[in-house]
Amino acid sequence: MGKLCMTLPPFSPDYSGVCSALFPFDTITVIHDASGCTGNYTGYDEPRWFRSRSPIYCSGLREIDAILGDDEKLIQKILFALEEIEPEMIALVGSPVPMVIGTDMEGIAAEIESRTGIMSVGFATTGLKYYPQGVEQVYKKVVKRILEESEDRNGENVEVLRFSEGDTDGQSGNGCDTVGPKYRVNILGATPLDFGNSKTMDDLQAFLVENGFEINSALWENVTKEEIASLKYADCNIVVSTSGIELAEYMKKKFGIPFITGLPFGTRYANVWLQKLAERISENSKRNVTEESLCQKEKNSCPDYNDTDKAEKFPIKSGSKVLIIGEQFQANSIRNALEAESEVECTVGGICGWDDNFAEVQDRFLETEEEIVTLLNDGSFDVVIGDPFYEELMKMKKQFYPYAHYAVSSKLGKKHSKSLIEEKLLSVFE
Amino acid sequence: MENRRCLEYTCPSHGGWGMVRIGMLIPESHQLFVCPSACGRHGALGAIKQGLKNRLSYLYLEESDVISGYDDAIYDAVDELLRRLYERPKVLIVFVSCLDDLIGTDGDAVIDELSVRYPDVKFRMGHMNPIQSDSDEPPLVSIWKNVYSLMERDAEECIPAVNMLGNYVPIDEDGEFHELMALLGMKICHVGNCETYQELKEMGNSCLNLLVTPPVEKVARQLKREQGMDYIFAPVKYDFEEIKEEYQTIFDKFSEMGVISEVAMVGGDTTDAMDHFRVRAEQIISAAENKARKAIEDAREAVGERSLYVDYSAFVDPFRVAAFFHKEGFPIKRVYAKDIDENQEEYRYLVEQTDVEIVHIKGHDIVNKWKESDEGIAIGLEAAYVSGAKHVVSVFQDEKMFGFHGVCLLMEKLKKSVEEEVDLENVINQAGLVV
Repeated sequence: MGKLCMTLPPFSPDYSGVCSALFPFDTITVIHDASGCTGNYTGYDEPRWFRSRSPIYCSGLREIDAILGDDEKLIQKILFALEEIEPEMIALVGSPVPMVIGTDMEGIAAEIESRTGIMSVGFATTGLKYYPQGVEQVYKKVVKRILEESEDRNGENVEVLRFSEGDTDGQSGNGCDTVGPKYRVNILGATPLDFGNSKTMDDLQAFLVENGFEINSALWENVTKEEIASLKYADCNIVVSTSGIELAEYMKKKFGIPFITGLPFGTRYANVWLQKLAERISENSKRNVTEESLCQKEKNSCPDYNDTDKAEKFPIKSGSKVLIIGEQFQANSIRNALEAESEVECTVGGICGWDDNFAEVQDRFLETEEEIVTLLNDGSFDVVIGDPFYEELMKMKKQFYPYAHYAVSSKLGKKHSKSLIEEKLLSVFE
Repeated sequence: MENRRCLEYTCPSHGGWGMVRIGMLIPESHQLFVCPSACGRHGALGAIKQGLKNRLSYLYLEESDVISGYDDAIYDAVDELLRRLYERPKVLIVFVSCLDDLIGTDGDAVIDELSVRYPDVKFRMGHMNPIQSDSDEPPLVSIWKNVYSLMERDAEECIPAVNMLGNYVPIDEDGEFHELMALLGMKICHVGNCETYQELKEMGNSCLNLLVTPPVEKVARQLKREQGMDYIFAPVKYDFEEIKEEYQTIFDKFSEMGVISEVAMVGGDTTDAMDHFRVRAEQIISAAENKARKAIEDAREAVGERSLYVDYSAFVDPFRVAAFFHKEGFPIKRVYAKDIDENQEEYRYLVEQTDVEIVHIKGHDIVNKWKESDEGIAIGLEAAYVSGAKHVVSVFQDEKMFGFHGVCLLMEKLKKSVEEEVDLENVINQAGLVV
């Protein structure tokens, strides 16, 4: 966000994105700051922090250290901590002061790795950018590195390993009959900064399993280096936020793994999305993913709104123009779901991260509070869906449906943190 | 574990009064933070939770600002802000963050320029810069300086009032200190009771500043130097003898200033009136002491064998409180401290004469130390989180407590905590903590 901001809080910064993406990994994470930056993350950007033993620390940077460029002091603190904690990885995360004095975060990490033999990674985050860029950096510097190192080490033939370890007896164990092995999927780009306290990730994984897929990795909780290395054995990547797109493209190029974006929001769109997922796998593999090979639930009719009465009963009037403000891929999925359920026309306003390749002509990236205010008060929209904090910016009376974005309202938006997977889409209107 | 050698752990229950909230004590004020967007997140969310966000704005810096400086950007932002606010604030604090200490914006020049542009607004430069935590002007010192430097003496002679400086909320009005001051005809002033900027300004006419916490010493010295306002230290004490000594110090100061004599003169005969005051003061103090003694006995019985844990967030001086609990026979087991002065008398007492454990709550090993559950009572939310205590006293920096009545308040809270087990996450959220 630029210029003057009078109403909204600052959104989650890049260093919170790094810490959030690293949280499930076995890592000592050190934010190189005086205290406030770490407090931002632990206090407002990490719903998993309470009762977690995750070793995330502040370096306790002081002015004299900054002036003298005393990197050794930081290294010694980390070495001291290693006397009691044995992580798989060490992460050094930058903040505004290291940016100003030009601290070489990567260089310090390399030095620590050389002294300890523990994989160490430095992130030149600055606090000037937003969390998607932090998540992307973790994917670029940690996930890619582990994928590449494991490939060098094992020399595996990924094509052969893929499809080979699924449930081949036709029983998935959850009542879902499948034909042949299950298809493995990864979920990329999922952090609580986008999904907050909602059950979205649980519901998504359950939805995939119910439909005959196996979750290879969601990079969501308790992730080991081995699990990261095994990302390449998936049949398809599901990219749930813009943060994951770069990694998905890399994995497509490097390992030939296709990807699909978005989430199966709303019953009708969930069906479409599932078909797209199957097609993407079919296009890419020697096997055809037929409807029989997936365990499909009854999806051809929406239980609440069938074709004849959907316009009358759906909470949004037919012909409405809807503005959805939030994370771009989630907002796209809400658009797809709403348009599948009703005759509405949707525009997406993206916050923090953006990819033009996934935008409609009418969509736009919102970089300042002023831009958000302008779009919210554009007279052409009848309905707005977005974080509850945006409602205060509305000067015109419109239907407003709160859908919390943790990177905006943090725990203060908890009441409006919702999963919209399949039929839960309707919860956004409650 | 030495603080300086350790990576610092941040407890999920860390928080309390940050720069934003303290600055907001200034009535009719607005704050403009000029910083990377990241620096403002916790303050803004805290302000929303406390209903203060309409008095808080941000100018987010970009890389080009960091490279070329941002004085002009501040002027433009203030122009725009004052144009857009429905009501012009009486005071505007322009806050900068840690990185400004390395960039070196000339804050005085910025304030001078703004004061010329807007003579009807009082400007202050605020520093939210924990990078200066070990300097002689850490953030807490600087923000209190901003708040109290707005007091202005405009009367020829001071008025019969005392200011309590450095405590976040006013002390409880039912305490004996209020009664004693009333006996002297003294009003007790606190910035938290000021509804207008004018009222805060007029606190400059009070005859004495009582410094309740150390970070206000610097501004108190400045006020004495520039405006002739006298001050003495009056930290919150719990030990009975120390409380009585503190009252004696305050009365001696008044006596030195001639305040008691003036009150006595109203009664006619000086000697008789002075004697009357002393007798009455002793009666008030004695009654308060007896009440506190009874409160301690009741609380001790209620607490029973449950272990007590205290932390640095609950009390300005957790070692002093822990020593008090130990001497009064409470089963105090642990002090969660942030800064440790090994020469402090109470610290030495605890280490040398008791089995009370001292834990550095910021140490990296705390992740291996916290417990899921404990039958004890934690005083302070950080102690509550780390100890896993089922019973919690939610208090921040001795709030509302002073003198014997303060002891009674603490004992009441302790007794109450025994009655129920808490859901700590709820308590933390209700406390509206601000990092």
